[in-house]
Amino acid sequence: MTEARADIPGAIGSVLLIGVGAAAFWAAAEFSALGSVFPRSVGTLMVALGVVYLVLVALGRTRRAAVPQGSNTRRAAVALVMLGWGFALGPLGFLPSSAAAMAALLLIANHQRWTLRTALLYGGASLGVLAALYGLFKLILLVPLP
Amino acid sequence: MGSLDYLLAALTPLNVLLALAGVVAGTVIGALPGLTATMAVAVLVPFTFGMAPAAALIALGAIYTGAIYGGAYAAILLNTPGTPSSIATTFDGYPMARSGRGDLALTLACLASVFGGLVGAAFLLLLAPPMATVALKFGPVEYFWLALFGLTLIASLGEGSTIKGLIGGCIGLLLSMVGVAEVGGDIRYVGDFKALLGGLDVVAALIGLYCVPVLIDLVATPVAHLESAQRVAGFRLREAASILQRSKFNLARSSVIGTVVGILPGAGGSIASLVAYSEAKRTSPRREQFGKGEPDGVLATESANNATVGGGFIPTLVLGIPGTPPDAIILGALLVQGIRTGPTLFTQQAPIVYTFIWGLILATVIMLPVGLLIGRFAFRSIIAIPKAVLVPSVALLTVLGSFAVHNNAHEVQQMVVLGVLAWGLGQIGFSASPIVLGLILGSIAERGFVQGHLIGGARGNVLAEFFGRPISMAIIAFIALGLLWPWWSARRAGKVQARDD
Repeated sequence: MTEARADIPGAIGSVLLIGVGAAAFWAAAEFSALGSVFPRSVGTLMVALGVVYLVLVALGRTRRAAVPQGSNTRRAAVALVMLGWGFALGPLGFLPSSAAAMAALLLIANHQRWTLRTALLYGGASLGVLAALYGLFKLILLVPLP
Repeated sequence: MGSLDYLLAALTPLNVLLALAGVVAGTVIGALPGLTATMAVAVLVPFTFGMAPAAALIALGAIYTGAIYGGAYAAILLNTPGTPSSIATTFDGYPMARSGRGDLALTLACLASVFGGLVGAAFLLLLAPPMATVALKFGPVEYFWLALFGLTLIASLGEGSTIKGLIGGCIGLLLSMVGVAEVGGDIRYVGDFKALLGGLDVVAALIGLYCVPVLIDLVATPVAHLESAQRVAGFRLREAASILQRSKFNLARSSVIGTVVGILPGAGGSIASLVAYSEAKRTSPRREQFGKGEPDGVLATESANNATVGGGFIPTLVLGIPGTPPDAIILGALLVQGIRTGPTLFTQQAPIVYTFIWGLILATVIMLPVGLLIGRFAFRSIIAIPKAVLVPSVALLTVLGSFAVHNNAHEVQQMVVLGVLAWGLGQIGFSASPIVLGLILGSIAERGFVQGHLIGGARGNVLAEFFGRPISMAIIAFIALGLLWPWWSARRAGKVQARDD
C-alpha cells in the first residue's frame, strides 16, 4: 500500500543506504583486485540509486509506504522474543528455549481475554506442535537439535 | 523396446506406489518452510540405494516434483516460500488467501504445477539431446548477464518504486558478498563475527526475510490472519478450470520458460518463476492487479517452477551436469546405481532412462489428486487455527527450518536479524523480494563477471568478451526491455488517461 505524499521515511532510508553503499565501497579498498571489483561496483550503484531517489523525493515524484496499524509494543516484543530464542538455543537447549519462547509468543499474539479453557487449549495445542515437530526433525529427519 | 513398453514398465504396481509415496513425502517436506526440495531429495535418497535403477529414479523424481509443488502451500497460506522456487508465488498467492480465495489459489497452484511438470517432462522425453547442446554454449559471461537480467526484473516486480526495488537488489548483492569470496578468497564484510565466514545461508535468509516480518505484523492487531471464504466451495475446480482456459497462453509460456531456465545449470526454479511472473505481468491486460491477488501470477510461477524439474534433468542425464541442486543429488544417486550419464545414456541405457521419464510423468499426474487433497486440508487447517496458536507454531517452524540447514544456531540468529531488518525496510517501502533476488543471484553474477573479466583480459579484449557474443547480446536486449518496459508502460497509460480525460 502506498500513499501519495512526499516519501520522507523513504528519503531518510535512502540516506542511510547511501551510507551503507559508501561504507561497502570504502571497505573494499582492503580486498584484493579480484575480490574488490564487484563490491565497489555494487557500492557505487547503491550510492547512485540512493541519490536518484532523493532527487525524485525533492521533485515530489514518490509515494510513501502506508503507516502500519496496530500495536508497535507487540511487534517489538515478537522481535525481541525471536532474537532471544536464537541466542538461547545453544546454551539452553532446543526444548527449554522453544517452550519458553512459544509461551511468550502465545501471550503476545492473543488479543482475547484469557480463560482457563483457552489457556489449556492454546497451551496444549502449542505443546503438541512442539512435540510433533521435535519428533519429526529429531527422530525421523535425524537433525541434531541442541 | 518401443515407447509403449517403457510406459508399461513405468506402470508396475511398485513404481506407481513409489511415485505416490514420493509425491506425498516431497509435498509434505516442501510445504515446511526451510525444508527445500534439495533437502527433501537428500534426506530420502538413501532409501533408494537398494532399489532397481529405474524405480529409484522414479522415487527421486517424484520426491523432487512433489517438494517443488509443496513449497506453494506455505507461500500462499503463510506468505513464506516453502522452497526458494516459490518466492514469486507469495506475490499473488498470499493476497488471494488474505481475501478469502486461498482455496482457489491452492487449486490453481496444483493445476499449474501439474501442467508445468508435464511440459517439462515432455521436453525431456522429446528434445533432451539437442537442448542440452545449446545449454553448453552458456559461458561465464552469459551467466553474468542472466543474473543481471534476473535483477532487472525487480523493476517490473516492484509494487512501488523501481528505484527502491533496485536499491533493494543492491542490498541483496552486498549481503551475498558476506564471508569468504568464491573468486580471490578475500574475507569480506565479516567484521568480528567468525560465524559469518561461511556467508549468509540463502534458505535461512529467505525464511527470515519473508516470514519474520509477517509474524511481527500478525500480532499487532486482533484481525484474523486469513479471511475465510464466504461459502465453502470445495476445490473450486470449475472456477479454476475457467481461469486456466482464459490463461492458457500464460500457462504454456511460463512452462516453456521454466523448462528452458531449468536446462541452464545452476539457474533453478527461483529464477524460472520470477522470469515467468515478470513475463505474465508484462503481457497481461490485468497487470495492475498483479501483486494484489491476480490468479495469473500464481499460474505463471507454479507452472514455471515445476517445469524446471523436467528441464533440469536434460543436462543432468545428457551431459552429467546437474541443472538444479536437487539434480546434483540425483546425479550422485545415479552414480551409486552404476549409471553413467552422458550423451550415450539415451541409447545404451534406454530402458532405464525412458522408464524413468514415463515415471516422472506418472508422478506429475499423481500430484493432481494428492495436491488437491493436501491443499484442501492445509487451507482448512490454517484457517481454523487461532492466530495465538499459529504465531508460535510458525515461529517454531522458522527456527527449525533455519537450524536444519547446517545444524547451526548461528543461522537461526541470522534468520531473525535479517527478518527484523526486512520488517524495518518494509516500513519505509523497501520490499523483501528484490533483496532476496540480489542475495540469490549475487554469487552467480560475481562469478560470471570476474571469470568473464579474466577471460577477456587474457584474450586482450574485455569489452568483446562481454558484448560480442550472440547469446549475451540477446540477454542484454531482454535486460533493456525489462528496464524500459515499466517506464514505457506508465507513459502509454498516462497518454491513454489524458486522451480519455
